[in-house]
Amino acid sequence: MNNLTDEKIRKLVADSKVEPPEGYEDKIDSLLNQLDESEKKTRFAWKRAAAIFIIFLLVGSAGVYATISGRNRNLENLSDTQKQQFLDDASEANTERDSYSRELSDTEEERLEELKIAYNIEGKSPQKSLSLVAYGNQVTENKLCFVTSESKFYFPEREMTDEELLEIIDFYYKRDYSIRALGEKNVQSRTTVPEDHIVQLAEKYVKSIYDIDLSGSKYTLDKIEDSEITVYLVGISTKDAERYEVTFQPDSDMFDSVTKVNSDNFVDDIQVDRQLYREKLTDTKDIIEKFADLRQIAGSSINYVYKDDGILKNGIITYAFEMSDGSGYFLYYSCAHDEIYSMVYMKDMNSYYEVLENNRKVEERLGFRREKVELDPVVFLSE
Amino acid sequence: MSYINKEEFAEMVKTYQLELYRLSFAILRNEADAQDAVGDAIVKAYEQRRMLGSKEKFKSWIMKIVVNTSKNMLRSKHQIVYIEDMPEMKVGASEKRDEVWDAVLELDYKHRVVVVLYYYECFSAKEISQMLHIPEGTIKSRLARAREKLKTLL
Repeated sequence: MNNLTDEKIRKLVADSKVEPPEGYEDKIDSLLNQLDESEKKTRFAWKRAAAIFIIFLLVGSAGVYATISGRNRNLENLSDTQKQQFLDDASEANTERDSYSRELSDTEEERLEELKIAYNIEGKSPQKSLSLVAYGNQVTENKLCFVTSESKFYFPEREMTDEELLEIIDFYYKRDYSIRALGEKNVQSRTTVPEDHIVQLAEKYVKSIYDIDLSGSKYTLDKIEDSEITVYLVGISTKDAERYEVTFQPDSDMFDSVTKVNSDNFVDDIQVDRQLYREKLTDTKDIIEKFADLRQIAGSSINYVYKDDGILKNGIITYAFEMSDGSGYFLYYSCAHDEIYSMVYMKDMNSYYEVLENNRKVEERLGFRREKVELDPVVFLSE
Repeated sequence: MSYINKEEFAEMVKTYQLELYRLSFAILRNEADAQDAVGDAIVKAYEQRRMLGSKEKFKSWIMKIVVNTSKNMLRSKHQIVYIEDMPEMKVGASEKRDEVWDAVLELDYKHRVVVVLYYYECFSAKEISQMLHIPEGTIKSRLARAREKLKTLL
């Protein structure tokens, strides 16, 4: 059929019968009848979820930014029932914060950091799930568990094993993932002074980076406080059911991170494609020049991690741009989505290099290679 | 602005239920997944129905939600089954075969979506561009490539 015009295709399509499987219409009818019920099921614990998760990631780790919205493949197998249970437990707890029966030892903290990276990078998971009990009187002495009504971890007095630390990590990620997944269905609009200003900034940044129309979107704003950090998190849910998140440090009009929250940016079946990463430089340039003078770029690089078989780890590429004042921009490209899904700004690149070095050691131990392709700023300007 | 109530929403979903399935199936190429994705998209759309600007935009709005939901499902599905179970991603045995439809399903993902939206759902390149957040020129070039490919398949 060499002369296949639009008109001919439309005629062929008009005669084409694509029928849904038997029972499809009944399923739709049933679903439509249950809609009110499904709406009531959704409960809102967004603020709490964001708070506990980001604090968990931030404390002791400056490498939080790329993973704030990251989704580990360990999470994809969670059933709706499991997710709902996490949400229910979090909502019914009598406190907004997690607490612990004791502090972690230095070595536990150190291993926790390494295991977090292994969990994210390698998909390393615990043999079993963290033991959950409803009330404090159900705690078994010297055994790791989490009391849902108190939102409290009970640690054994002895040094915890890697398995136990992984159970804690796994629990945190799964709880966060579940609450976010369900919480997104019930986003509330809250814009009060002075936070309005932050919401407007967040909107501006999202529009600028992703070039989208945000009319009809809903906004959330949360101030996440801990003894060590304070972060503002603005969530934007568009009328097309897409979600964006922007984080800010207090008293700063510049974002920490702007992220398009995709259900899963991580894939593990994509070959390294150096040519493609070069081609995407044009996209990064288009974004960077909205925020900075390209002539002030002191150094730039394309960064990725891969295995011996050439498979790109997580399907994510990082474009790093160090500015002449010591600050830096990072753009995260998702091969799965074929888009820049996140942008991070760091006032001081040194903290990034510390994280990078820490990650590199763990990656090497896990058999990964990190490649950093340095770019000549002049080349970048001419791309 | 008043938003659509449950009855209106249900009626509009019923009107487009075949189209929703067809679009999702074009992305996922799996009956069960397509049904699940449509279900998820309907719930998501219902919960966000206050965000729908006008009822006239319902079709393009919910189809965009179906695209996003199906894409997300495709990625997670692909990630989970990529080694051991790829045959599941092919057309189910019970799927009624149709030469044109089979040819469309042979196209790669990016082309399948625009072909379905353009030829089956009769959206313009501009409308598809707005739905997918992809430049109109890219939509047109994808359509042109899809036509070339269909020539060899039909």
